[in-house]
Amino acid sequence: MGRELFLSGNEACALAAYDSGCLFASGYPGTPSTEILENLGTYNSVNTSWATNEKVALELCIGASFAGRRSLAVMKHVGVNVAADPLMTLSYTGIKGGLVIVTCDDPGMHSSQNEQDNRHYALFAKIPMLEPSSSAEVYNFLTAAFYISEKFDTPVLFRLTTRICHSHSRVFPGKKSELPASGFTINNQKYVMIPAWARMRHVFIEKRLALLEKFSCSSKFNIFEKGAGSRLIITSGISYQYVRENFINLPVLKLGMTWPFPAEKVRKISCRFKEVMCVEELDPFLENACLVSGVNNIIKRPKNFYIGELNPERVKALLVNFKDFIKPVKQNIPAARPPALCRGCPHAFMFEIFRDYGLIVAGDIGCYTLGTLSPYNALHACIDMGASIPVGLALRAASAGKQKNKIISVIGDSTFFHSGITGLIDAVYNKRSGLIVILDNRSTAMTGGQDHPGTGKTLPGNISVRLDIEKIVRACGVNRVFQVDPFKKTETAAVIKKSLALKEIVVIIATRECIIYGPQKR
Amino acid sequence: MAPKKDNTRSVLITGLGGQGIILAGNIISSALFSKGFDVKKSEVHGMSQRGGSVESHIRFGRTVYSPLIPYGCADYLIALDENEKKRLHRQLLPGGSIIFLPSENRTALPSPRTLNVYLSAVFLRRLGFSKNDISGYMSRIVKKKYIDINNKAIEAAFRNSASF
Repeated sequence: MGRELFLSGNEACALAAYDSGCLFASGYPGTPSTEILENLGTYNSVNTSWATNEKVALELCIGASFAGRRSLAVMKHVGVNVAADPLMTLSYTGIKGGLVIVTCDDPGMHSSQNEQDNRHYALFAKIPMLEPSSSAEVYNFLTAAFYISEKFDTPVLFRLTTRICHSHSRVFPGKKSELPASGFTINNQKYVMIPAWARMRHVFIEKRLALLEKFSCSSKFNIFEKGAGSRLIITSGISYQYVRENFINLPVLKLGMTWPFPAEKVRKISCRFKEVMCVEELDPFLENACLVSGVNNIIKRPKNFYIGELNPERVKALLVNFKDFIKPVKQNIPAARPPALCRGCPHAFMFEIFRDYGLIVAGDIGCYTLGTLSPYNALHACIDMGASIPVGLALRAASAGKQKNKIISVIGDSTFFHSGITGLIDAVYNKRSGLIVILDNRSTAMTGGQDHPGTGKTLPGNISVRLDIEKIVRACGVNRVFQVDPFKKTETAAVIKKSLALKEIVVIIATRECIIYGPQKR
Repeated sequence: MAPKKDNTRSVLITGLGGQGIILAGNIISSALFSKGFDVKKSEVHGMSQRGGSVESHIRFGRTVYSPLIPYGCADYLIALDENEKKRLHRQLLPGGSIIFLPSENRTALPSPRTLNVYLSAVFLRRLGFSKNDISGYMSRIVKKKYIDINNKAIEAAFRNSASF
């Protein structure tokens, strides 16, 4: 027997990419995806980077793929929204070197602002999707994903969830492949998506989907496990483990390749049973695919199951009582402790000022979103990366009276680089007015202190140019820029106070390194 | 310590962000894995790190399916925090064991920060692991400069765990 390792899904993903000869990988940190690139970054031969955002990450991978390199784009579920623009047309061009997009969904929203089900992106972009159910499958499926990508000239969506990413289980790694670079081949009708050529590629896509569906039906990703009873369970990903945890003998059709849906295979197996039930996390994706495929003996899950993460007890309640599991109420049980800003966190000083001035804060994505909780209660809107600037400025413009001068935007350093700059340029160009506070802790702290363009270091730990936020802000056309130290609270408060009523864009940069990751970096 | 044909056993580790729950989970799971068990370990990193409640689920046996412990099915509850112990007590099977060190007894530790390694050692000792084995798993996981102090915590666990 070969090597046996105990790896998280994320570690297995990185190892599989390395072993598959992937030489280019990029992404943006985001729970639960972050450790994939961190692990890949430990291999010197792989060009690994934190891109400024997910769109840039995917575009980098597209370039590498067009040069014939296997490449991996890694992001959390909401990151795919940012990368959706290149993704939709990448489906048209197809690839040269295998290209896999890893989407790490977060059912239950352990560390996210929504629990969107990214399986819909496979359907939407008309690309194949694989859903492993353990670390071993992450390894095996990713190796296969590169093969599928190259065989069918398509990007592949590799869908993980928090419970797969962050669970450890055994992995049996295979051999490492070495692939020669094949270089770029000029082929405008494939790589230049002007309407005339894109129309031809759309015809190709529909043919590709039909071929992929055939492949999926006969592939080893989709396995029928015989069992006792008149009800067939169709499941995928982590849900499979919860079904098996409860019922070892039920007949199960386990789908590893969930798009294109293996309709023929599902129909053939389903008609041998009295009824069929899909056990899946979040949206009724498999359920709907079954219905569209003509599986008419399906029992739909109660709608409760569209919400939140599954677990063994919810799956048991679904299969036994066709109901959701509700934790019994018991007296005198302490509540789970919510997360909070760390003791000594520089952001905390800023949120104390915002609170004491009674400000209305349009916030952003990062540790500082916790400023919305007690004892600060000083962050009042949070949508997506970079939203604080446009949302805050328009909130201010559309408000009246005394409230107007109390509205500010607050954004972190990494988020500013990710997608804050475009909002700032818009603000200057359109002559908006208001205060924008950039909380610069020299770190992507929420996800574990990753580097970004403002830290002067790259993902593998190499020294790089440190982009200066103030210079960028000034280059965007902002004339009033103040540097403050959050630890000097009185002075900082005074700068904020005098900035509130100014009729132009004012940017305050509050710089103090993260109390946790700052000292680790030195 | 060979894998038995019995059912999967479950260990729930709980505490607050910063206490080293994940590290404790790594020591315990790597110890069990090296003995040939099928092991699954699950925890959530990210926002919950920020001082919030943290749980690590470890399951071991011949074949483990769910990485999450089914509700009320933990054989062991290792708690680093009193409140978390109370909160998750209902996850314990009737007759399950709690591994916890009350704050007044923590003077035996070489440092409060070694509570995670101390309790991991107490637990692994119960399963029959030797002091040397545990020290070996710990040394592979913690940063070099913390190996000595954690070895002292393992020593303390072997001195004191009779009282559990």
